[in-house]
Amino acid sequence: MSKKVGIPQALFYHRYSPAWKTFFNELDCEVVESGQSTKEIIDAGVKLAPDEACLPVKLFLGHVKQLQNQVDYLFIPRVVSIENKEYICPKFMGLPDMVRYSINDLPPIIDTTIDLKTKKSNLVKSVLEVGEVLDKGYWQVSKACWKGWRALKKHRQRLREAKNNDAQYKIAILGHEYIIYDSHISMNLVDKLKEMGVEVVTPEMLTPQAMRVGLSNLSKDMFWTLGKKMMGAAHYFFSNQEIDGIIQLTAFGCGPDSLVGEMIEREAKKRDGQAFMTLNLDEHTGEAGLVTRLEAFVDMIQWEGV
Amino acid sequence: MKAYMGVDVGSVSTNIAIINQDQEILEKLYLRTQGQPINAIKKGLMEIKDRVDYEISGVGTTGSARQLAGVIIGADTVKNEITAHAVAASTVVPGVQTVLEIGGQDSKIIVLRDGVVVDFGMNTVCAAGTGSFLDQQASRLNIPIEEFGGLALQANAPVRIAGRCSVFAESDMIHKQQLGHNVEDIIAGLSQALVKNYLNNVGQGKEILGPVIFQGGVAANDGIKEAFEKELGLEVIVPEYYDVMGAIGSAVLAQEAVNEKGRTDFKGFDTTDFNYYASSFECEGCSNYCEVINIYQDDEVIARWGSKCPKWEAV
Repeated sequence: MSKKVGIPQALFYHRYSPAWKTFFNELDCEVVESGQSTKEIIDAGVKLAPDEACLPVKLFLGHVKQLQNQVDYLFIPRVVSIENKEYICPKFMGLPDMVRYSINDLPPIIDTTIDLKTKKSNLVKSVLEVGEVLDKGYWQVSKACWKGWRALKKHRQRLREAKNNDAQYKIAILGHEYIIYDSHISMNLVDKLKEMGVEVVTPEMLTPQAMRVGLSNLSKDMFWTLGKKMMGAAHYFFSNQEIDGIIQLTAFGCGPDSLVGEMIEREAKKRDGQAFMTLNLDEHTGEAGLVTRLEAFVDMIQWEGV
Repeated sequence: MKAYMGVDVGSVSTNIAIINQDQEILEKLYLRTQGQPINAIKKGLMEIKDRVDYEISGVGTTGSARQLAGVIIGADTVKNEITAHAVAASTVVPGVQTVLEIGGQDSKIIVLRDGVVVDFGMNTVCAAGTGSFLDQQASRLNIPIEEFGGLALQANAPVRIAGRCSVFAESDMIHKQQLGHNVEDIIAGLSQALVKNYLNNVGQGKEILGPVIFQGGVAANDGIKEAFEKELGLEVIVPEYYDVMGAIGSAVLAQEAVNEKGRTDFKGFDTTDFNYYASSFECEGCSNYCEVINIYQDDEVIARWGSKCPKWEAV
């Protein structure tokens, strides 16, 4: 019987899920996802998490709880770095520990460390570690890794090609993918905008070249990957004439966002006529307030266009 | 003569304004919503019906109950209150560059340049300094809210009050009271604290240039107006119809909408003859437990909202 590996549908799931799913399937495992966030999951997460945790981490714990009794393993990698000389937010580094100490009686956690700070090939070490836990051989694991990478590449390609030609306006959303693509905490923001006749662009849709163009505007190198990506995307959107407006989504309690968000907001202010708005989301955010702001923002763009 | 009606149903007040083709205000009405928007809308329509003898060529709704009001009245346009306030401000004071708006439970700032909105802000998780809080403080001090602002102007030495949070502002006020400061100084201190809170919170990072106009229910408070002028170093204009600006904007938008459509969906004032009510239920279809709301006209469901999925979309 194939082993069941549970993947919480939160945080880096939204970035790497095609790769992860393919990888475990290739290792003859059945992947169990916790499903889209629901009120029940958020409530469970808020109850389990320490007070200081940010909203996305609280949500992650809720997803873990959802999977608790359904799987043989939980896949919660310790992601330290995914880029040369850069780091991921410390909360990702401590994620497996935070989960262990917040929830009792969990199935074994596959918490292999992913640290590509010095070289990308460290990933091989990480995937082989996973293979060892699942008792799979070198060749099968290497092939699974390769296939996973291909699946991810294809997924990103599809994201970039998704275009809505009927849309009248183009709005860029700046924010972590685990907020934008979680329809519950983002309160379906992307769909709401689409209904208003807006085409939505996210940082994930940018090509590596576009990202490099954006990043060339930074006065110095940043070593937090996620924040750097946000700054690069912001600068790219600023200089792109096709983008009619930018909405920045930040999560309540996110430390890096409070700095990077502020920097981006100041940059936006320096640019005349740049339509820009920041929305800060937390578990209590009311939908009515969000809708009012979105409508007003789209009105503003429309008005300027006249 | 063609006339257009705007209805603004907010948390605290329900306002109606009627304008003519040249966007001059013909009638206005300010009612307290008192937690019952449907009743307030009906009452408002019945009252205004007796005052108008011209045909209503278009209707717009705005405010937090804009959808509800739109369904009951048959609105030609249902717009958010930020846009409605901006439209009203630039209609009443052409060339306005900053709009400060403080209502019952929310406050906004709208920045316009060359007649176009370029930026806006709205209070998020804090309602300190909005009308409801002032109402509450006035009744705690046993002063009619209408006199609240006037008293602030009589202050000689406004006290310092922490305006960051309305709960702490209240304890601070009580503390100053017990020390023996007089009421005028306390109220003036409160006005200043609220203005600072507004500018730091809602107005953070916004470029405030004149002409500045101050509207919404709280604009009736001269103490707050003066505090704004002092803090900004700019003249602050309170327009004549400051308390129904949302409704005026909504009427202007209705005029635009009808000009485009060529007809109105207004159900007529007789719509108040029907019995409207709402009922809600918790959908147990999935773990989102959406609170779905049904709006009834007599016994027929005419609108429904609140669900996250299309399950309940069809009426």
